Amino acid sequence: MTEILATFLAGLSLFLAGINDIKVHLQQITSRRFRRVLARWTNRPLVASLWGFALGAITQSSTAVTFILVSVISSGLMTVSKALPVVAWANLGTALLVLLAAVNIHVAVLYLIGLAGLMNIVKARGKVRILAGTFFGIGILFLGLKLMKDAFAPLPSFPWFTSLTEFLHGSIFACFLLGGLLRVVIQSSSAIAIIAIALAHGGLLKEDQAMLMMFGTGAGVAATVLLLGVNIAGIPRQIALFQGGINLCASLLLLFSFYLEVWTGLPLISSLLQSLSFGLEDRLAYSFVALQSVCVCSALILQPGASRWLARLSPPTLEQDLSKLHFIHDQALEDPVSALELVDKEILRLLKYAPQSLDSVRDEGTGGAAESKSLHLASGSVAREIQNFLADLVNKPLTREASGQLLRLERRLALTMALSENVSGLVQTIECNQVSPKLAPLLHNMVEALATLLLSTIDAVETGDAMDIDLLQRMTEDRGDMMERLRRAYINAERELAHQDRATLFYITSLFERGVWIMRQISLSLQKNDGENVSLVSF
Amino acid sequence: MLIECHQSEEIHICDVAGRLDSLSSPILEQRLDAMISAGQTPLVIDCSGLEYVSSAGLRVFLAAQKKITISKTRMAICSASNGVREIFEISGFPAIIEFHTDRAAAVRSLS
Repeated sequence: MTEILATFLAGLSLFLAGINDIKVHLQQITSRRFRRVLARWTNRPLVASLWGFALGAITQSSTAVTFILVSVISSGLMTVSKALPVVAWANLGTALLVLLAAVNIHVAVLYLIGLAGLMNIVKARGKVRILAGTFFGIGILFLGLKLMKDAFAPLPSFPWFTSLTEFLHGSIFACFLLGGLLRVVIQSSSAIAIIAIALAHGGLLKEDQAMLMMFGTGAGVAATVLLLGVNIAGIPRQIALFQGGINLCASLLLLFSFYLEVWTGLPLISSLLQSLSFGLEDRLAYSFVALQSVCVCSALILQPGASRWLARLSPPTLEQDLSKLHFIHDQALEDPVSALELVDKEILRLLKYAPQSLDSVRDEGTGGAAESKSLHLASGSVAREIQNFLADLVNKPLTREASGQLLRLERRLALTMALSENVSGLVQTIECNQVSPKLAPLLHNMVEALATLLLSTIDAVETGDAMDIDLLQRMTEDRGDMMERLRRAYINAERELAHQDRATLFYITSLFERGVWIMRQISLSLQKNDGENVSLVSF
Repeated sequence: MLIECHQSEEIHICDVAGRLDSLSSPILEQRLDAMISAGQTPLVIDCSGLEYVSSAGLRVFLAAQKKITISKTRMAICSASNGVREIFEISGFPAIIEFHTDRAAAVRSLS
């Protein structure tokens, strides 16, 4: 008996480790090109369905599919309503594993593990590494399935097993609940379907009990959404709610159909499966396919009004709204010159987040700490999208002038991001430290001065006006001596300044100096060539 | 905020007192605009009564300096308290605007 349990546990853990491995590796495929293809193909409902099916079949995890879709939606390449069919069909894709598990592919699995494992050992790079990791995960997953199935084979030879079977045979609905409960714990409907098939194969469950255990997984998905839904917000929650909703519908419909068939004798799903001349394992595998098919049907019925309801139930978070791209888009890549102009505008939009981030520590600021954090996180997302876009643009035929502009924009993007990090660091330091009232005037002056300089930087970038650039360059000249004098003045005047306040003073003034230096670099990057900007400010 | 402006043929002088924040800044901007557009007369802004300046206030001085440059005349700020002087310095204003410790020195410099 100990061996049976050990084999089952080993099989289950290998299976779950395989699913996790696949998920982790596929989540790395979030390159702009992949997402662009995904977004383009989802414009056609049939292709969107195939995409969903393929993603579900490969990842074997609705969570992984959700992750991929959220990254596509967040970048503005796809809308929630277009993502919903992909989510629905991914459910049906997960059923492919259950069907394959009924087929003997043991030797193929061993080859897969061997080859993918060797590729992992030779430390392949880039896409090959991701593929090797994914295939290794798939191999491990099937090996786990085989172990789980083998584990229960000797069970009927145990005398206690017969009495337990008789006891369990009394309750069918308990199996439905068990399926739901296991789905909450194991987080994989296909894994529970495999377990149910293995238990039925070993004689521990009757066919209808195994079937209801599978149907229960749909309710389990909905319960998981309710349990974990509090930790997610905005678009990921919308997708999760939709996933939970269609799974619950499918689960309850099939439960109702099962009992209707039992009570009235109407030939429904059980009769249909029985009429097919398959073996037990195949019939159970097809009942899982039936569950996922009803899921897809529920999605097709609910989908028309779903995105509106979902947006009302879980509106996009501020960070998700701010992360959307406003100017760059795929079609722009066809005309590199226009594309560079759009990148310029997108970077400027990013730069405008910086003074807004300061709002939470300003007397006149309207935004809170949460808004400041959202702005910083959104800046990171938008910057990554711009980087990917520029990387795609590099591969296009560019004139010498366009190449130069591209390099300048790459530098400005890097500087803008450095500035965003800097402002965020300053805001966090002020928010996290209980600053002494003695330092409050200096902090006020630094924050207001930084806001002024940031706005002047935006003016210079936005207008490209020689006078604005010249003003910015003068305002951002090296002020190391002045800041040092200021630090000394505060430390000498406030001798009782606590150690913590001194540390804060040094850190914040250093951050401020660095911020000014970055803005100077931005102003210098705006000069087309040396000497073009003639100084207009003189006194 | 209190703004008192005196115009003469030789020099315009503007006394600014109180808080210069996002609410009061547009008023000062309007007054300064009117003075600058009145002609190529140098402008002195006396900040002796100024207690508080926000970024909106700092932007008014910046905008005034730009207009002054375009109209090819001069502008100076004088008599700022230590706290107000500090925010001007941290903002890098001494590199673009003339600062004087008192009004007489500012008038002398611009005359």
